[in-house]
Amino acid sequence: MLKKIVVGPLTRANNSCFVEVLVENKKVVDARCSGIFFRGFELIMEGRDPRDASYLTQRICGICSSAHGITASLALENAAGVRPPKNGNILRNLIFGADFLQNHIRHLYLFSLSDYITGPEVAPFIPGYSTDKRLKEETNNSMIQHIFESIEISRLAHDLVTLLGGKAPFPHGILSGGSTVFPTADVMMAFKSKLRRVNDFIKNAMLSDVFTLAEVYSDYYQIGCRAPNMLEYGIFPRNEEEGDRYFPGGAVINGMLQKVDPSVIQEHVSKSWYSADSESRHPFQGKTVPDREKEGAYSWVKAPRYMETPMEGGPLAQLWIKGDYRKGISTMDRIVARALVAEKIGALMESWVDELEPGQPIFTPFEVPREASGIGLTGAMRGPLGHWIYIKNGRIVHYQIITPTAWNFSPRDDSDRKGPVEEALIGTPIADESQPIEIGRVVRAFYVCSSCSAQVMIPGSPVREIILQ
Amino acid sequence: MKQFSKKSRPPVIWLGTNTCAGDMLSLLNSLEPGYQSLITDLIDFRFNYLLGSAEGDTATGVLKAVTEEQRGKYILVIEGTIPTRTNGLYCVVGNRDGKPLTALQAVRELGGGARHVVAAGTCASFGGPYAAAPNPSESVPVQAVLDRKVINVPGCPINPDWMMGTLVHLVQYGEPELDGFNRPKIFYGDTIHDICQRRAYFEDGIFAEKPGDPWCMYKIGCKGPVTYADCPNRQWSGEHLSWPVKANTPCIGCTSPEFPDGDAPFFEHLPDINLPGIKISANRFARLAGAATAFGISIHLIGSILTGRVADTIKKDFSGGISRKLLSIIKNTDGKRYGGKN
Amino acid sequence: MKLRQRVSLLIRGKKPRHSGTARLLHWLYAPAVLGSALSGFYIHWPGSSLGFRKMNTARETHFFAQFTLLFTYIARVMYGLKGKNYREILPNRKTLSDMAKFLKYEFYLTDKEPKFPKYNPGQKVLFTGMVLFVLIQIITGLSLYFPKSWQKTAKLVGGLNPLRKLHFLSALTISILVTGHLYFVFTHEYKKMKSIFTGYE
Ligand code: HEM
Ligand code: SF4
Ligand code: SF4
Repeated sequence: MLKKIVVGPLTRANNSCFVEVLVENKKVVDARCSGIFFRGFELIMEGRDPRDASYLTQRICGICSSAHGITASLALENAAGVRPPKNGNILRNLIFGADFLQNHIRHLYLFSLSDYITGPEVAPFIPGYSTDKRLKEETNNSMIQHIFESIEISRLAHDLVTLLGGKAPFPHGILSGGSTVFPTADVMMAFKSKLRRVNDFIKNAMLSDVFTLAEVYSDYYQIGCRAPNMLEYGIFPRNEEEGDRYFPGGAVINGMLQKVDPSVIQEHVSKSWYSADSESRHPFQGKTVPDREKEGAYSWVKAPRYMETPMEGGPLAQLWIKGDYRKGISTMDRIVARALVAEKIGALMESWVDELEPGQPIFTPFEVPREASGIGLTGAMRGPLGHWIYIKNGRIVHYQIITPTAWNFSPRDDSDRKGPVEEALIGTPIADESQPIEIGRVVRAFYVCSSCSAQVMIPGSPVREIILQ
Repeated sequence: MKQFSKKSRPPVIWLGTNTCAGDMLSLLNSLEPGYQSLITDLIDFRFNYLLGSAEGDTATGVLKAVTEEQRGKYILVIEGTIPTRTNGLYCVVGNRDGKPLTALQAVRELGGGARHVVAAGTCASFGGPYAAAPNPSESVPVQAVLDRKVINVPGCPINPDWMMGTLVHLVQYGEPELDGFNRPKIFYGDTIHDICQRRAYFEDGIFAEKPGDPWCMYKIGCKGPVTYADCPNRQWSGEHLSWPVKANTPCIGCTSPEFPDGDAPFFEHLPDINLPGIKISANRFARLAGAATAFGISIHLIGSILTGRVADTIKKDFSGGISRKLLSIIKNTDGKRYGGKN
Repeated sequence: MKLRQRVSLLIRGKKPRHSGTARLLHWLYAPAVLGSALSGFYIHWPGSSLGFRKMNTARETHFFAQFTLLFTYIARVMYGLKGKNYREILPNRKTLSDMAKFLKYEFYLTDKEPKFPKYNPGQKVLFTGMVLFVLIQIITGLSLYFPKSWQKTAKLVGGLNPLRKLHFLSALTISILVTGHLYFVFTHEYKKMKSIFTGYE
């Protein structure tokens, strides 16, 4: 007998989403993920000044805002044929890096951990599920302690963003042409000492907490698995030449690493609420015409495919492609990889601070081209992020954005192939159908960027929908 | 975990609608009081879409419980716009009886029984980025769907202090004094420009020519003169370290009701001019208007010269008119001819 | 011959074209408009060659000119209402038919110069336009100057940015009207131009 479980809203993710699974013999046999809200940023960008993109597109996401800032900056720089000076590039990397740390710390402690520990007895940590909490009380309490410390530390990471970017989220210091705060000794001293505090926390608390989880919940190395199909565009340009990145890009198809070719990316919309002709398209031609009543569709997320393959992005893919971590592709691997990436970025940032040259330029002035097109690609906190910009008469005439969540959380494509989260959910054991805590664990490890916390069940109450097939 | 007296802490529902979560994340950046102290000392944070442990029906169940049990007591905070397209289906916040519960429905229902309704962020207050043209989700601000007063705490995102301060005010002293846009005057009482550290540069005409120049940002589109907020004094984020002008970039006016459509392009002084069918930048428009005037006048002048009208005017008024009169006055002759009495 | 007699020679005992009050006000608000426009456009394009060297000088000039304009505008409107001379300025039913004749002449379709009472239809439209746009300028300007107490105006047009845009667009319009006015004054009848100084043609 098949049972349908809907988790809606799936909270503790950035933006609303629903997850719907079919369970048979206590195992997930089918899954559908839907993004349940629509804003239409690509339409909103049309007609605007291209320089506004690096500020406005940041508003897509509050937790990874600087990723959009960077990508939009790269896209316009690509169109205008300009690169930031060395200092500008490093400063932008530092702001972006600090936002990474903020994001990874908050994701683990505020979004994910509630799935594994018994949280503090205070709203909004209560109510929650009570099943399958395996930690010893002592360990559990130390993690609660870390949750509150992490709030302090992630705030500190955002203050790092503020120091060089003016504010956080949505720093102004990331824009086409470079960055804007001079790396004077006083600023960099403050930056470095705050950064050290963040890094200490990552080393002393975050890593050990993650390894504890990995030990206690080791079965999650076998849950949330999928084939090694991964995509990353590379993070943190190494110098003025933007192609060379500290975290290299790559496409992994069935475990084979290849170079990324953005021209084979297609966006499918047959299961998404867009009325574009159901033909799949390259982002430069992609169309966004929303149609909520479209037959057969179930998500606002489009389904991007790389050579017809659903690709997963995020810390695990980043490390896998870099060659630093190639164990497995599972829920626990994703969680561990996130902490490791945070540690690596933190260490890199300390070295970047020393590379800055006070007194040297930080911004390259440039003319907005009358007519041009550009691509900006970077790795974001959750995976590959791309902006495609097309400029005419000095204004944006077409803008296309493919977010990491579109890759990870994509619905089925034109040939009915599942998205990565949907794939990973298959086979997940569900011990107690009224408290399907396993679903959230698998989904959140991907880092879905949806303020969504999904499931239809109230603990203890009967499963609502039973479908007989 | 120690619990403080529950009685003194009003229940708070923080509902995310069409949002990027930036406002809630910004609130997490509050230094004093921090988040921990907020949820243990100040408020009873019953529902939070971003940080709540509950998911699915447990989460929507909390909403139901609070509205029913705490009518008239809870504070409702909305973050994000309310889409109205296709009956609000462009934003769903949960499931109810197997049907999607839209943000539109939820806000209307929750808004009725709340002690205070607070719109957190520019989206919820005024529409903001997600209601920007062409407003694909037909989004509206909270006030547009509720008949009661909504306290607007705009900002994209809100400064942690603006939200924390408003909450503390509501809990301890009730509703703060509001301005014409229902913004608390304690935070939105002055324009950025009036309290800006670079005001002296402005008055002396020392202007930045590009982002990254450490002077007044007026010429690269600073919206400080037309934006209400206390960023220059308060600064961002938790530790009050910086703000956009201090970071050598223009203020983009994110607390204003017209953000972003009414004040973009961000790096231009004036917003675009929307004529039927085309959008044109203010400076371009001014140049075109000037050119058209100059062109019109030159054509007319050429016409007047060619048709001899200019020559006629000069002949008529100078030779026959003023000049002869002036002459007569100076010479004191010929007075009678003009009917004057000698 | 005494001075009075010399002056009376000029005036031929006619009724003056412009009364003393009208002339006085004209010579107060004319420089005020000019000053507002120059300083205003400098505020818009600081650093441009509009005769100012610092933002502050431009803003002080704007301040001085804007309030001169405000008070003389009020005085001129009151004077116009009192003496009913607003009728000479505002277009009436006849203006439309007159306009056709007037435009025909101005566009060189006929050589016969039509005669009109005090102001021709072109002038009427021009002056009425100025009356309207200076009013807009005063309202938007005051709302920019007193943004707190005049917040209602900002609310009406959607915020301070749109208000600023309106002020700028209306400044452009006024500048075009003034340019047109000056053009006609300098190329049409000089005796009429004289009358704004002396009162008489
Ligand atoms: C013919 C009359 C006027 C003209 C042509 C004029 C023109 C201008 C222009 C072009 C600007 C710059 C706008 C911008 O780009 O931001 C400006 C600013 C301004 N105007 Fe006027 N204006 C006139 C009358 C007035 C009046 C009557 C007032 C107030 C009673 C006023 C108050 C202001 C204020 C407060 C500003 C902003 C200046 C600042 O930022 O310091 N203006 N004006
Ligand atoms: S106001 Fe800004 S921060 Fe708040 S939800 Fe809207 S875009 Fe996000
Ligand atoms: S930087 Fe902006 S707010 Fe500050 S003085 Fe200049 S224009 Fe005003």
